[in-house]
Amino acid sequence: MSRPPPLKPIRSVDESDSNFSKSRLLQPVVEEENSQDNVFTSGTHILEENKQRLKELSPLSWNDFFETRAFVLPENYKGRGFRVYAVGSLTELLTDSTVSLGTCERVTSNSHSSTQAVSYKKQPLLMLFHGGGYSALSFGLLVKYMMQKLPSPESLSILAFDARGHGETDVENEHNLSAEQQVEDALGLLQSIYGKLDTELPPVVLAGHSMGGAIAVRLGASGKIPTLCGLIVIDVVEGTAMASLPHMQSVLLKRPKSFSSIERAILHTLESGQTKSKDSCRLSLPSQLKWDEVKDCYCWRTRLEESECYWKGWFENLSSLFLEVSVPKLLILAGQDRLDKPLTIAQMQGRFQLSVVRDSGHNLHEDQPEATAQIFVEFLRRHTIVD
Amino acid sequence: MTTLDYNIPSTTFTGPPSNLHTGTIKLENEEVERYLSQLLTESCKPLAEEDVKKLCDKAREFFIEESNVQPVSCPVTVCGDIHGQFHDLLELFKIGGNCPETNYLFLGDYVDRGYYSVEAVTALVCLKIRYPHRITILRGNHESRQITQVYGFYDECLRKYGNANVWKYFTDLFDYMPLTALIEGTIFCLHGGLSPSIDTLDQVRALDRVQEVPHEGPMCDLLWSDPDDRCGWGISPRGAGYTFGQDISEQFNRTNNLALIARAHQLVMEGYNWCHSQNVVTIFSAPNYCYRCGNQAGIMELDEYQQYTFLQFDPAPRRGEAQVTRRTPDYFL
Repeated sequence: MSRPPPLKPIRSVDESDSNFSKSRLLQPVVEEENSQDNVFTSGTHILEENKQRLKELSPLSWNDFFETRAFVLPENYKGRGFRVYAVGSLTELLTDSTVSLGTCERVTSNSHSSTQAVSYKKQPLLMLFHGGGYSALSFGLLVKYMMQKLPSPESLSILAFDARGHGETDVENEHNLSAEQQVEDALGLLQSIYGKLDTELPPVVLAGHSMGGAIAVRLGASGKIPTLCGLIVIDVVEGTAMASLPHMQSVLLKRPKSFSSIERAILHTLESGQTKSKDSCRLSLPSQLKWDEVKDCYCWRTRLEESECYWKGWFENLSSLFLEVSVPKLLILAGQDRLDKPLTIAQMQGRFQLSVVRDSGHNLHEDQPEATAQIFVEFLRRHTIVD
Repeated sequence: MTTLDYNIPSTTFTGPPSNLHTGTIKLENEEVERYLSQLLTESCKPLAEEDVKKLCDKAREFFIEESNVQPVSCPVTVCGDIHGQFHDLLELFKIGGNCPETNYLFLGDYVDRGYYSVEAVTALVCLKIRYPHRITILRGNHESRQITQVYGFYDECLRKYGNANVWKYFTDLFDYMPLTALIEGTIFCLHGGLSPSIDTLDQVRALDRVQEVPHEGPMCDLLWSDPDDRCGWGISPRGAGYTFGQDISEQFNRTNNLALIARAHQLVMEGYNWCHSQNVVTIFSAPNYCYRCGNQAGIMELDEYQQYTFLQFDPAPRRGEAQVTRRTPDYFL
């Protein structure tokens, strides 16, 4: 067994953002005895090979995938706020100091012309909700491919955010992952960014993966977004989700509790097959981890094990709520046999679009980001949400 | 972590190599009848790969001669989606009568979803070759290379034959299947529905159908569209084809002197369903669709005077059919 020496987090020097810093992440990995994660076997030859592999697993930065990021704190919330990432004219809104707290970081090369700043209210918004334990960055590759495939990239704003208790989001009472609270959070975010939730909102498409899919459906069904014009759910179906919940704790227990480096966590995630795309993993995994000062290692950022009391509430009644929402709907699954009875009937009656992404797991937008982006863009075009 | 286990006893075909001369499309009636007796039983065994090839080559000769709007005479029994539910297809023949004693018109979707697509489509194609004037087989949206790769037929062929040859023989054959049928000049039959690009039957006749089902356009619409409560044309929620209202159906029937549009494609809980003031009827012939929907199946019998009777039936007793278990995904938060 071997592992690199525990690396202390180094304070970021160039910005106030302290969650993780490039300088630390890019430190070379050095092999040593006494591993905490069981990924490696000893032997000089293997060590050399692993060193090489780990070098290729360095984290990727958000700014190759989004145009801007900021913290947004809805009214009456305490803490640093929700970590949001955006592309499109939404960028202009986030730059507004009344919307985001502290520095709003922008990728200057992608900055928009001033005329687009005026039209932000008309530009349709795609709002992305990540799955339990993941983060907004799990959508990074999808967003990048979407921007390439859109007929005109200026025709859509995309907003992804770290949910409460996830990623870099910092709000009070972060362990309350109830569906109601998360719907409330999303509404608070929209309100902070766009002002009132009235018909002046741009056309809104909600899209979510797994837990986030459930939140997107519940938010859509709440009727509180008057300009809702589309709903996209990625690989979550009530029947199959409820059936797998009893096994979920043992699945979580099987995960390693800690990692000596981010690269090792990425390697583990790839080797376990949870995510198949190396680049997706390099981008999104760092934000799913946090440095534990006491244990001197990386642990999971989100305490999913402790959120069990909310799981049922995410998925219960999801199929009928999904069907009730009267906007164009798209369900993307990793396997066609995952539909439950109500959705099989509704699909066979032509009440929503079902797309299946082959050669992917539950994390299909990370495993096959380009294929998923193609499905997203075709859906948006078909329903004339974008030109 | 996301593969599904179908707990089906081995049905991999390991029969003897065909000693029949290959490379010819000569297929004697006795041989086809031997195929049929092998197929049309509960203990149905898929044909050898070489036999499927011969079968498909022969069937193509019949399909290629048929019109995009294939004329059909009464009496005839019209059937909707089958979707690989082979044991229910046997039940359908029990209820409706065997071919050729009963004439049949099938509206497409023989494969995918159910676990016996190979058996179902092989049996229907055999019947077509043996009794070409007694059975008409139209193309459904699942008779397509792209759809079958996602919804089960491709995987089933791999499982049962160890390679994709049989899938290729059948999907190549699907390209030749007629798109629509016309019973006694008055009942227009097709899998999906109408198309905004098509006003007359002659426009259907003029389509170049020998190709993979396109993503859009008139041929796609005929196989994908659905009737709707709203008037006019609508974007289909399915992601292909259109929805059409009663005004559209009435206009189309008036223009073409039709009494009725008979179509399938949509699950209807009673097995058949009238809509658009009896301008359109939907027929769905896969009972308890996907082994979970709890619906009845329906078929429409038309006698020599074009009087219709609907017959409904429930799933066949599952003798000889394997229990299917689905493995839940490992991670779902």
